[in-house]
Amino acid sequence: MNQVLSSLGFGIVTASILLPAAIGFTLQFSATNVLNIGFGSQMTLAAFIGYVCTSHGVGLWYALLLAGVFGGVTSLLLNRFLLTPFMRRGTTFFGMIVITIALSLVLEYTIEAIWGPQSVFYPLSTGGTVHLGSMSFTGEQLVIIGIGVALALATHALLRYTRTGKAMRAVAGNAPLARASGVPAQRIVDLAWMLSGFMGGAAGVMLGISLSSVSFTMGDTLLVEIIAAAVLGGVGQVYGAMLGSVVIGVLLEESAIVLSGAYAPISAFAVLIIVLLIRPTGLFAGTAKAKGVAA
Amino acid sequence: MVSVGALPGASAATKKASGSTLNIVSFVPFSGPDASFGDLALSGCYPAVYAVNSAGGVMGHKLACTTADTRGDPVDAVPAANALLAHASNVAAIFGPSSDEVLSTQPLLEKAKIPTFLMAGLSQYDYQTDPYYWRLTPADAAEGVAMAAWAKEHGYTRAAAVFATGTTSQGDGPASINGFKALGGKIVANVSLTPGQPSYNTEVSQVVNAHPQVIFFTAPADTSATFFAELHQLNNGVVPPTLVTEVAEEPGWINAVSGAIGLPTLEKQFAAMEAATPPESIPGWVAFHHALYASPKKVPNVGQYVDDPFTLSYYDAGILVALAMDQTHSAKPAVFNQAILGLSTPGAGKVVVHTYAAGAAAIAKGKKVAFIGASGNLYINKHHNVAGAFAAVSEGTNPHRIALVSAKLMAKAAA
Amino acid sequence: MSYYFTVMAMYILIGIIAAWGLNLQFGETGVLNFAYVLFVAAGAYTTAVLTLGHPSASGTQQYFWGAHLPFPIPWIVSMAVGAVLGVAVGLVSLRRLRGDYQAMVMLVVSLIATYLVSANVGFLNGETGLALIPQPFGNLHLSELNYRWFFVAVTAVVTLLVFEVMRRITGSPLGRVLRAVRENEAAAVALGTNVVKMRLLTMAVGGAVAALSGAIEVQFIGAWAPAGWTYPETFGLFAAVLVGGRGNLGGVALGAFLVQGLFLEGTVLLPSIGNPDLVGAVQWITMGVMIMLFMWFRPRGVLPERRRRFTTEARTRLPLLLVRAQRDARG
Repeated sequence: MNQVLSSLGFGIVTASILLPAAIGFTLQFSATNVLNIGFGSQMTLAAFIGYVCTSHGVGLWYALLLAGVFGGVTSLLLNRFLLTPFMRRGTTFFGMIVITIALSLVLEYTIEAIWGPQSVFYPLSTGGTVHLGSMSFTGEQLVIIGIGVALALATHALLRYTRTGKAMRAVAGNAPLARASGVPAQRIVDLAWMLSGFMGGAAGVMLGISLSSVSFTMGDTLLVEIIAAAVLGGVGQVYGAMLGSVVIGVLLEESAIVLSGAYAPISAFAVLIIVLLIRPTGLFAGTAKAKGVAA
Repeated sequence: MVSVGALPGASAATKKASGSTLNIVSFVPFSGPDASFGDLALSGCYPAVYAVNSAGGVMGHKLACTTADTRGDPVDAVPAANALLAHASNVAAIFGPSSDEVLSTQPLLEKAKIPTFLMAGLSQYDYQTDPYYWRLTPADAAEGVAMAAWAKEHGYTRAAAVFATGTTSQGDGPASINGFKALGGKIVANVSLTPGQPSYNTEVSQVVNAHPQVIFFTAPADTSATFFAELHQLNNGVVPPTLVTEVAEEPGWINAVSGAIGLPTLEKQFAAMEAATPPESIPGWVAFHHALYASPKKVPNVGQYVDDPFTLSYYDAGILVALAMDQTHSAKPAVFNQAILGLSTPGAGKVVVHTYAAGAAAIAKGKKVAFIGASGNLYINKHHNVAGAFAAVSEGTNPHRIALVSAKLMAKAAA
Repeated sequence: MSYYFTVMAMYILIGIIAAWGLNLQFGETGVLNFAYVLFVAAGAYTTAVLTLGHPSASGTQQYFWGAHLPFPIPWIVSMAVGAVLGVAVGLVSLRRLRGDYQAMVMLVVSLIATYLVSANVGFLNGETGLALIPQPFGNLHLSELNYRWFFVAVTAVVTLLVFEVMRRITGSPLGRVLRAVRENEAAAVALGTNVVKMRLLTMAVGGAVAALSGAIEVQFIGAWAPAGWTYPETFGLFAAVLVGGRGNLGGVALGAFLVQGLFLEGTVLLPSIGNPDLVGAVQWITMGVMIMLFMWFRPRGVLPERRRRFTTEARTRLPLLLVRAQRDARG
């Protein structure tokens, strides 16, 4: 029982990192129908920008904010000047996946070319831990949880209670219809990509903190978990992505109790497949259903 | 025996290099999880090449360090090996391959008939018979055995074995476990880490709950950082004494783990089991040290490599290859390879030298030469392996030897 | 230098075979098999254990079972394994899921398989992988170089055979049904096509072809390990199909030549210059940029699919074409 609770603590930390990452990933998909394989590399790039900040004496949490802003801006630019032109030329859904794979290669190895193949790290306090029953958290982990939850709540507030958020949902549901009803679709898409980039950038730094190191393959390694969380919730479903993050994050940690360590990562993915076999469109099926993907 | 020349460039810098450049190719991973092996091979190559070239080159040739990236992938390494062989005419020696790609490239490299200085620690090369294969560092399994012996020597009876899944760990993990059991110790937790996970808390809990007195550990830098950060967290800031291997002396590993648990803890609780390097006062090491810093080409964090057994032995290998060319008057690997063993072994009537310049000068005067370089006497056996002593080396930015590992206990643990 | 050419030739031929298998699934039928490299690996491992002999005979390598079978039995068994695995993976992912979900599930399947093989050392020697895999034509006593050229020739013949099979499938009424499944699933269903059955068929055939490419590759290089079949490898093959021109066998072959041959392996064969860390990185960056440029300037690939069957106008006439295809298929 102790072990279950103790692992739950770490599961919550992992889930808190997956939260903004999966929200960001799914926002991009819902806004432009692009499955962005380069998302992980964008996270890593932002994490390295965070590293540059901390090594120039910027405080860790300000660095996280700056990395988020950097992520938002690069994400916006990438969509505007790389992905959108391809979409306009009529590149297919799968063609776009290949573009984002190429993007991921370019980003990842640019990072390696600049910062080298070896990992860097943020200045972390190696101080005390806070105990909550069998769970224990370092100060940084508590802040990570706080940021993850805050970003999820902010997304919720934005989508529910603001005009912009409603417009985003409208564009996600049916872009031509939204445009016809006077929603400035391009601006909304820009905003969605900027937001998702911010989420990804923040998640990148949070991952670097949680892992105690930042390596150039880090984001790509987490990408599968991000995709799993997003798909579990129903691709394009922001609330689904939130639920998916929590489920995948906690499962990743808890399953290691039952299975030996090396097999543990598999369980979360096995759950994903089983859930999809029962509910083929993920836990939250909705507008995504309308966005049938044509080859 | 007479000792000649202690500093490089002291003599014989009169030759003029006019021939083509001969390459020492570092055939190891330069990308992927084991990318640090690349710098490790180069860290020995650069000073060796500098020492030879600053003495006027060898047989009218300049030496150069080139690289072939195996990406740490046995499949990708095969075309890389083919590329190396396609340009083989000016290759004097190969530094590598590592355990990642040694088996898949063996059929190709065997045919190349070029002196190949293995980085691979796999046990199947302990008694190898290929005349062109050399391994001047101990097998991976010996590192595991050294862990067991060191733990026993310090009175530990309960150990946790924590090894990442991967090629290197497949060698030293079982050796440490079996060795410790053979010495009467108990393995209270046996945990494997899959690299690339967001957390290792369950594995950490297993270790913490088993209350080990000592941890046997090998994993890549980022996996290690995450593991020890969580161990530090879940064990109330206490990291038990931990025995690691040479990998953990590389700058990337030290940066990552000291970032996770703090440099003081790392320096206090960790010890790396390495092939024992000689005292820093022997003339061969002094000459190496000079060349390491004087060379215009350096690996990053060059200071971390001054006592690394791989760096030292690769420097020695580079010098031995050059001296072998001088002695046989040939730049052909098939001719000079056979001279390497004799050059590394002191004996009656041989002049002991500690630098390339002194060796080349002595050979030019028709003397028989033995080269004792940075590693001291290598004692290369007929299987082209070395069976040197092991030492525990401290971790941190300024590594130093803690003590030698008991050879007697190691023999017992390996039995 | 001849060695160099034999290696390049082998990698390109193997890449072409693998890309054709993927083209049947993705190019013709629209199945997004992101686990494709898993089938290549299945073929490679099958051939490896079927040639290495009993595990106890190989000393330090651990694997669950082995035999010592002569050529071409390991290759044929590999194809069968690939086909069966294709159907099995297809049954899990293709029956109920939408296209993009299928793709993601496949990706996850690929990842799970890598984890399983890496973690379980006793199964297929874990991350170290299998090496020293015997050569298939050792009893011919050819000189080293002749042997290599002989191997290239055998592979070229196999490539031609695969080409003929692919050409027959895509040129037949069945091929038209497959393309109908790709272009307009709803219409295909409406006209009574069993879409799932069609997709499973391509999973089986494509899986067998992938396994064949893996079988040839493992015998040529003599080694196989998880690092060689991580999920990004699949993307390399997708890039080959897209750059070359999906749906066009010649185009796909050209794509495999460009991507698998020149970008991926060709860069390895170049003599390295400068900072080794940087060279590797620059090679990958160049490959990424090249793919983007190809996708921009030749969006349908270098050699596009001939659109006479399904031009944009033809799409409106799709039901008619389908009826014809169905009729042809039933004979």
